[in-house]
Amino acid sequence: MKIDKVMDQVTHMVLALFIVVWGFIAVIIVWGSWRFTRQHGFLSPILSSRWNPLTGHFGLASFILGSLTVTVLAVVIVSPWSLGLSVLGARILQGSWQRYFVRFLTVFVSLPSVLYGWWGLTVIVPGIRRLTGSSGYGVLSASLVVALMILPTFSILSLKAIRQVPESYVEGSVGLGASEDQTLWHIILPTARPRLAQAALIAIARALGETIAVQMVIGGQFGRPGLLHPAATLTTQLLTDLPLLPPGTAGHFVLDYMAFLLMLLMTVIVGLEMRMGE
Amino acid sequence: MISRRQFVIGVLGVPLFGAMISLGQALRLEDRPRLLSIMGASSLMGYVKASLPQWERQHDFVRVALSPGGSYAGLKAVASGHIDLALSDIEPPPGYIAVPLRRFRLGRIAIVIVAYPGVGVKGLQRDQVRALFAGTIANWREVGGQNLSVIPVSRPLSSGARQVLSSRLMKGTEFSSQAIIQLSNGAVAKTVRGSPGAVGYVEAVMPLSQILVMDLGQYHYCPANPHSWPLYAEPSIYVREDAQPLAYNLAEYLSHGSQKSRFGIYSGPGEGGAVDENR
Amino acid sequence: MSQGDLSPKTLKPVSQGRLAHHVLAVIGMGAILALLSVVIPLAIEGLPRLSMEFLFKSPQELGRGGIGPEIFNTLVMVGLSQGISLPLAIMVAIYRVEYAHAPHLAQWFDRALHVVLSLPTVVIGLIVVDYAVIRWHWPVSVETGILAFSLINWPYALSLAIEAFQHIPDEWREASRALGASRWQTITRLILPVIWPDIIELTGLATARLMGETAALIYTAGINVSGRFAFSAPGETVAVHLWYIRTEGLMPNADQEAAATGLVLLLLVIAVLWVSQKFAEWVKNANL
Repeated sequence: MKIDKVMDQVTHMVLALFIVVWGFIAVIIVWGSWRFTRQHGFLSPILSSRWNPLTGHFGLASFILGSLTVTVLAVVIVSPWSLGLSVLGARILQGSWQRYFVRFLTVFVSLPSVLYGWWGLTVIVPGIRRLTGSSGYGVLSASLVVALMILPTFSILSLKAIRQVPESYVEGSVGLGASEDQTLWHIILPTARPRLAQAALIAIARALGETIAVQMVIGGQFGRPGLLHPAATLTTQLLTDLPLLPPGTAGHFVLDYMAFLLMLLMTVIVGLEMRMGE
Repeated sequence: MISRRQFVIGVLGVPLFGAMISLGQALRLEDRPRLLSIMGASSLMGYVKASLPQWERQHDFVRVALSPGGSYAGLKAVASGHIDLALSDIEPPPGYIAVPLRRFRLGRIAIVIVAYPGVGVKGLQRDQVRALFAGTIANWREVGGQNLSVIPVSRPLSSGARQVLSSRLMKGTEFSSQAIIQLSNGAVAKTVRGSPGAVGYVEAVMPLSQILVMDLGQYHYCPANPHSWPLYAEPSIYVREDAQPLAYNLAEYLSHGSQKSRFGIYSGPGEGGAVDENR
Repeated sequence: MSQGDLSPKTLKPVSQGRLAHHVLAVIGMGAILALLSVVIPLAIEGLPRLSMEFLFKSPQELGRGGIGPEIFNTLVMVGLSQGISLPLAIMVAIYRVEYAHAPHLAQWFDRALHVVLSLPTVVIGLIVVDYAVIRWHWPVSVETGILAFSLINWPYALSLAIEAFQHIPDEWREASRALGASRWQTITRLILPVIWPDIIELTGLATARLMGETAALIYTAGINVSGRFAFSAPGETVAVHLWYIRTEGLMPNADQEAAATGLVLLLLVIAVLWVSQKFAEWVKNANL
């Protein structure tokens, strides 16, 4: 078959193009961070938290800490809500309601993050201020905004995970006299656990990469540790200091290094995700 | 497994990719609308955006692209020739730019100290403002106001307004590390308007409603007559000496624009509008 | 009793043991309310500003403008970048699912793809600025925006397409090959017709995601629009316009303007999702 051979080569070429393009991007990031680490060392920027690119202090510790705190907190906050939504969608709603439910959540998955940030400014920040007496801008507000942002993604994925549990398991359990609750806790959720963990990791990756919505509510600089104080994450600092360190200035490569750290964190998360899938 | 032939074809894909890019480059050089690009201080974007349509009508074959990025990025990019015009609130720091640039002054933009309306203070002394932004005064009571804790709001290091404030007002005192950083004028104004106890600074390019504009010493900021106000940025347009005439024309047009006053830009004393100046 | 009545869901053997279900349902309802609280204030504030004039006129810096060119730019840029990246993504997906023989390599490929997928878009924006704009002297324009969009969309569309291809059980492929069909015939005659609806629906998802993209576009496509459309002219999209009004907007009623713009964006996203679903259903039924 002639067409077969041609298409065989075409798909190969497109694959090669894909690998070349993304390899190129990875090489740019790695090369930039190599140039940075050659000057400032690999570990010392991670361990220091003194950040002033104009005077040559590139301490990234507080941003890494900020990224991790916001992400972990957001996932902890969102988990029960997401469980509620997914059980609602997969076990309680019936028939075509399930389909409408997923469509409803899909709209929110695609909602631009600016809108979530806006919601944070009008609802979360004043709320936190009233409750705690702080300024309202800080890690906690950012985690709440991110939590709402990843909620639809997380719920859809966990909903799919719950649906993948074979109906025969459920029937077996109920047939043996277990109540619906017992079936949920002891059969459905344990069976779906690997996929639920995968869903959580995808949600974590999304939370870690979020920029604009976090920037709007987190306050922008690291002063003192605490959930109610302003902080910054790797992504928000990347956005904030992009104008300060345009290509060609001495500190520009720190941006590549920050991108590299983000990539490294993502790799760890994806590694975990793959292990869950096995 | 991938056969040898497939491997060769895959590797050949790389130059193909390069060829596509160079083809794109070649197409670009052909007869297309001329393009000028502007980059720089975000506080001037409103004025430039409002003035561009008229200029584009006069020069039918030219398009002007605008991207934000801040004063530093604009200056760096104009010096390396990536863009044609840079908007900057600040003068380039010594040694930052290696090529000769021509400067077109736009005038002045007042920078005002703003606070949440309920702080109970109408005016501040310079050293009080310094202490508020540095974080050494933590409660408005200490300057005679309500019992509200102070929330300083500032801009990132790349901001021209922050540079002006640092050099004219802070005089070497660092901004508090507790300050909230907002990326733009508008965001600072919104934050200050909404947070009890907040104090910040904005370039007065917009009507400042529902927000308290502080008197500074004996000075009172009046939008209709800002000439005596002591804190201001001096925004300018920078163009390379060897730039195309069209870029000069646009810079000239923008520095004499009729809409300047609507965006808070006023001419300083003794300046009859724009002054060209070689650097 | 008919067969259907015996399903455990209708039987409800223990009616007491559903407390946790009720609690989770209440939590889920709360989550739905929280999600609605994002869009409903937007609709309330933005709806009065929405008019034909707003949808078609050019923007004006001091208010009473429209967002016509922005909507057009968004549609052109998203459409073209889908046109570029979707076929490429499908090709790679075909290779990944139908051709790849080395499971280890495939696993590494998946892993790398996931990392690429989770890369913040601001990083891609950074790279496009560094290379396309600064090294290759592409203008800040619609075409650079399309490049950034295509780069963002390619891995995303790829992962969705791979998922769609993997829905087809291997037995089908084996059966098709056993009947003497070549690999390409299997793909075009068997697999693609079955998964077209899926691909259409997933394309809708990817398109909706692109429409809301801001961070990568601010420095590549610019924040203004020119009087007439051109590929080398600056191309602000609706999402970027929203970002701009929220941060630097000077019009007296900036909040309302922003709400209306956000509402238009929301409606565009919903429209894209709805159309892609209807179209997918139509294709599916046409196949039968």
